[in-house]
Amino acid sequence: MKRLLDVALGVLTAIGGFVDIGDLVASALVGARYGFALAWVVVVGVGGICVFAEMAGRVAAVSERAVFDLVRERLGPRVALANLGASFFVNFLTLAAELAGVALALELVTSVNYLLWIPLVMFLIWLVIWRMKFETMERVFGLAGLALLVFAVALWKLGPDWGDVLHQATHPIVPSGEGHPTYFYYAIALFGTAMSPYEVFFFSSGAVEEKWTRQDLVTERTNVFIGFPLGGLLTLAIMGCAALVLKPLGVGVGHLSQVGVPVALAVGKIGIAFALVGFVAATFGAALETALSSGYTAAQYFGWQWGKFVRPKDASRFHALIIFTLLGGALLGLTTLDPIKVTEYSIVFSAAALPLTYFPILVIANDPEYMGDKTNSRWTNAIGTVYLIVVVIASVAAIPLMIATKAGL
Amino acid sequence: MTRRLLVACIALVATTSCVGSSRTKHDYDLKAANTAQAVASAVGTAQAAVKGAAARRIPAPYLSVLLNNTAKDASATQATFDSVQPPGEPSDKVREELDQIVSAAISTLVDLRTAVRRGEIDKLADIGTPLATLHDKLDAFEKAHS
Repeated sequence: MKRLLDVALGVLTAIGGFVDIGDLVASALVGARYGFALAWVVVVGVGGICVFAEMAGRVAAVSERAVFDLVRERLGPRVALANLGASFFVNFLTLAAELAGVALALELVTSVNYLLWIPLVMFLIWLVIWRMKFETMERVFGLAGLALLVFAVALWKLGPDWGDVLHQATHPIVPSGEGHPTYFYYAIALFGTAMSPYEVFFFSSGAVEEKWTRQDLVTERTNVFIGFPLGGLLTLAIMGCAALVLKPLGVGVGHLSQVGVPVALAVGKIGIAFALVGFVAATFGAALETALSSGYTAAQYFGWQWGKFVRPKDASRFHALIIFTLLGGALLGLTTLDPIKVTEYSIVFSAAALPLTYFPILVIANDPEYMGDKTNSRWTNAIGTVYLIVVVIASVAAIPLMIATKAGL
Repeated sequence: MTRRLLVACIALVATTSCVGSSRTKHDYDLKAANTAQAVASAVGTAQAAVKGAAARRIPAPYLSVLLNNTAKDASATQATFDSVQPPGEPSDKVREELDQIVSAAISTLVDLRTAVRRGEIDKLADIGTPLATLHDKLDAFEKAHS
């Protein structure tokens, strides 16, 4: 019974924790601009994160070491350093975006300028990382993130012609007046959001924090193969709401406040209250994950003691790095740089850095020395390789498309 | 030689970054169309906000932030467009035509923001009446110049 409850909680946490500021912004932006014509990218992206998160979790459960703990050992210090540099930079940008995302959500609740919230949010994130147990932290914010299910309710209440929605999603066309480069730029952005590298660092390191073993593989696979796709449906619901309400009005999404408008119109004040709880939970949870991931990646590369499973004084460098990264993220937020632009750039840079995250996972999950009888099957390898090719194409095209389209103009 | 080149580069960057330039009418028209599209987006957001406010479906703090963002966006877009020098007399007319619509839109958006801040939610529907016409005009302008 307890195991069943653990599995159910894990799945619910995975659903609620799937969405972050990147998903909120990119899905609404794409829905308002392209309708359902890019829904297929969410499906492809969710498939990708499922394949690689399963591998990363399996590596952690079997070897009882986080994937990036093994990267340096398996691929050498140079490759691992390139990996660390790119991952840390992308993580940092994402953390800054998530911090600002929490502050923007609080601004919507209070109408107090988001800049005033950033220092407080930074402090609260540090406090939670310092004081709260890993499992509690993961569950509280994951479950609170389920409030975003209100977007699914709103989509249902908006009453779209489901046949037309399905047709648009399965017969994607570039709308007239839109260029192909811009269409593919947003496709890559959406793909990058679904496959954010920090999700894998966190998932894999979290498995070690929670002391997963081979016995936990069923739980791990259930979380990944049920929780993540259902989380992906949330992303599609946000996209759908924007497509139905914002697209006909010609709204280009550039603020978090616009993302919740369809919910307000369809469900009312109760709906917007749920959406705001969801915004805060999703961005706060993702800020915790990105801040921890910054510490995880660096500590695992340099061989420092890391994790919340030891007391902070025993992992002092890990915690110090998290504090400095948080301070840096907050300072970036306080420069008054448009937080939504920071989010958009973090997504595109994530896409560009994807192979550095996913190639090592495929290599290690394929190594019988670490994995024994849990090495990748041929089938898993085939899917993993196909995804790696997609990831490389997205990575190569991300920056040139960003320049060519002036970041999606 | 290297020093001269460096000075020339700095001068080039400084002059081009101060003022957005348009060499041709076509280029200017495209910038005008993009401006119309961006302002139409702000107007569209305000339309949704007014609809929600009229039905009492959006809480006041949320509405305040939403409408503040639309007014700020539209003003910033107009300021950016106005910093672009029109390349000739036909472009002057384009600028004049667009400025008229955009100024009316900004005025309405600012009025909406002020009303929300004063707690006059009931007045939003009346103040927002011109939004639909302005949205149509901006759409038509964008189509005519893109």
